[in-house]
Parts: sequence; C-alpha cells; structure tokens
Amino acid sequence: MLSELLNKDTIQIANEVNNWQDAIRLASLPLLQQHKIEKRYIEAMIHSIEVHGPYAVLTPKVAIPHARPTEGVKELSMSLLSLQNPVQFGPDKPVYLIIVLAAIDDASHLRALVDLTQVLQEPTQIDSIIACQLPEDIVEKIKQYATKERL
Amino acid sequence: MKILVVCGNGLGSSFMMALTVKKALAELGKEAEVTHTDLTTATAEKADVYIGAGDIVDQLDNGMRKIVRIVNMMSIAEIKSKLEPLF
Repeated sequence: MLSELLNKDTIQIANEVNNWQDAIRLASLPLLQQHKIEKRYIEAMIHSIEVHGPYAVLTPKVAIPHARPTEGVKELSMSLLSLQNPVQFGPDKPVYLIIVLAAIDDASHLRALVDLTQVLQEPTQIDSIIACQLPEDIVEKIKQYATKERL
Repeated sequence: MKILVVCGNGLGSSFMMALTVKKALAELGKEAEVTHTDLTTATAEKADVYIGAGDIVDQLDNGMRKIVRIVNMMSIAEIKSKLEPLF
C-alpha cells in the first residue's frame, strides 16, 4: 500500500530545481541509492515525457513520471519530491509534487495507485502536502488521505 | 458503451484515470465498460469512446473515433461534464 512505499526514506523536500528533467533525476535519487531502480530507468522516464508530452502531469501541480518495468526497475517502489517553488513540465504546467512510480509488472502496484488516486482527487489535499516542511509530515498526510474512504 | 482510458504506457496514469472515470460514471448514474491501456495497444482496440490527456488521445484521432480530451485526469467534475453529453 501507498504509505509503505512513500516513507521518510523515499520522500524529499527541496527548494527548487532547474528544469523538469532535473526534477525527475532528484526525485529518483532515493530509489537509485536504495538499488530499487537502475540509472537507465531515470532516462527512460524523461524520454517517455519527451515522446508523449507532459501527460505525466496527471492533475494540476502533480506529475507522476514512470516508464516500463523492463526499462530498469529492480523492485516495486515509489518516491516523492516536494518543491517549494514549482518547475514547468510544459507550457502552463507548473509542478510542485513529483511522484516517481517504478512498477515491476502490470498489477502489483495497483493497490498503491488506488490509494494515490484518493490522495490526488482532492486539490486541497494536494495543497496541504505541498505546504509540509518535513518529510515526516508528508508521510502522515498521505497515510491520513489514502485510508479515509476505506474506514 | 465501452470506454477506453489511454496513457503513454498503460501502467500508471491510465489506471488512476480509469478509477476516476468509474467514480464519475457512478455519480452520473450511468453504466459503461471501462478499461485502460497504452497508446500502442489502443490503436488496435475497438471502443465507443477513447479518453485521456490531449497529448495522448490526439494521436488516436483518425476522424472516425470518438475522442475525449481531459486536462485534469483526477477531476471527477471535469470527466463528468465531458462524458455526460455522450449518453
């Protein structure tokens, strides 16, 4: 489930980045360091956006970059980078939250994505995550939002 | 009605958007078959409606398919307003 994947070791907060490519590289860093993805997966995510356009910006302020499992994923994982100042993913596509998805097959990550959908369907929840100053606070918010409809 | 939700590689965004489409349909009180896939597979798959981000579904637009372009893929309200006229 989502809060097992997004924890204090996979969540980062940064002031700003130079461009969306750097945003994806920085957001992916914990997964690279934990050997959950290979370096080529990061370039595959960037390539996917170059080819298909900024559709990874699923909802205003949030991008979910990802590529195919075969492009360098070793273990199902996710990471999150929260930016204090937005980075442009495309014309009029400012992004504050970059959530990297590394899936190993077509199915095992879907439970976490159900949770993530709960979090992202409410714009006020997105804003309150962006406002967090500590990764631990983001962990708590995600836990709270992801489970609220299942109670 | 068969609604196909399309994204670049069929793994993440199309699944999350399909969940949102299902919620939108429930709120509209409408029934439809909702499946999700990647762009390449979508070109070979028959559906009554193809829905996704503009960047993606525009590539499916051959003048014959019914295409719905979504800006905010997590917005139940936007999806409802764009699907309702199709029923």
